[in-house]
Amino acid sequence: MIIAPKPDNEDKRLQALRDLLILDTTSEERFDRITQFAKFEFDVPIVVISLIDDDRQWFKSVIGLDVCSTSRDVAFCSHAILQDHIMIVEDATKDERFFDNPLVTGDPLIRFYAGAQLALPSGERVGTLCLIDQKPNTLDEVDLTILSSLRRMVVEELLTKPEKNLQKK
Amino acid sequence: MLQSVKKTTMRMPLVLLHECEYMVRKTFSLFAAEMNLATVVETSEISQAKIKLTDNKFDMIILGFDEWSQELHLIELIRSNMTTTKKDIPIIVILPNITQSQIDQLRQLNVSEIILKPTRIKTIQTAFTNSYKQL
Repeated sequence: MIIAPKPDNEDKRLQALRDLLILDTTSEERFDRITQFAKFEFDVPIVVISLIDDDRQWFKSVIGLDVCSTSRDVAFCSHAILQDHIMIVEDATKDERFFDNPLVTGDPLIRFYAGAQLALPSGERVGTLCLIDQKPNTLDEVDLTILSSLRRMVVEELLTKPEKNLQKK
Repeated sequence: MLQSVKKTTMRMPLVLLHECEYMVRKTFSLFAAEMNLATVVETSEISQAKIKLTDNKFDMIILGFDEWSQELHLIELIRSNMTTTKKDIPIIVILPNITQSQIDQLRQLNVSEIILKPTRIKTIQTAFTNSYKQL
């Protein structure tokens, strides 16, 4: 397993994440509807809005897993936030970064991963919207653009204070 | 097809997307912008859709059905040339369920694609691409 290095702007990135005042808050429908929609759209069992904190990834919204955080060292999303484009791992068992990762060798037996970076307007990548499957998979150009659109919605919500989030019909 | 749309179109098509489900509306609108497929005008109330049809000349309509008669009437208005939009533009409809007689009614109104809910954005995109050939 290869542990992702921390980004060069880690201090600034962590400050931007904490300024959102979202870590360890309760689940919210405005995020859950995006993960629910992604689960149906891409037909995957696990969808997560993951925020990369100092030593953990914390899930603002999660479908298909019983945990709300994992160690940052094992997080696929720690690798994803280092990339400029959506990170696709078609089969984690064949990827040198992940083949012996405990999330691959044990529950939830990750095989497919697609992580779209959640980049704030200031440029800091605070986390990902990610799709996970227990069988190898891939995304085409249309899928990637849909995932990117959903990622933009997550970022919009991260930047919106809950009290300002009017009921959207 | 997507590539040819991008290469040969001087102006992006203007699409009215009337749909009560926020996630479908918003995601397709962002998706269409990101793919350079279309400029999407969104409405969630049928009264808003009527106003938009009066104010704009759309190239395509994607019409989510919530209450059958009102949406059907909207299509009849378009096909009767009672709006600013050209009467023969492609119309894609999205419905929660449908009977054979309703399919027949929609076919008589020359609806180009019928999609059943729950629908994926990718399904709407495919219908959009198919209907685009009619433009």
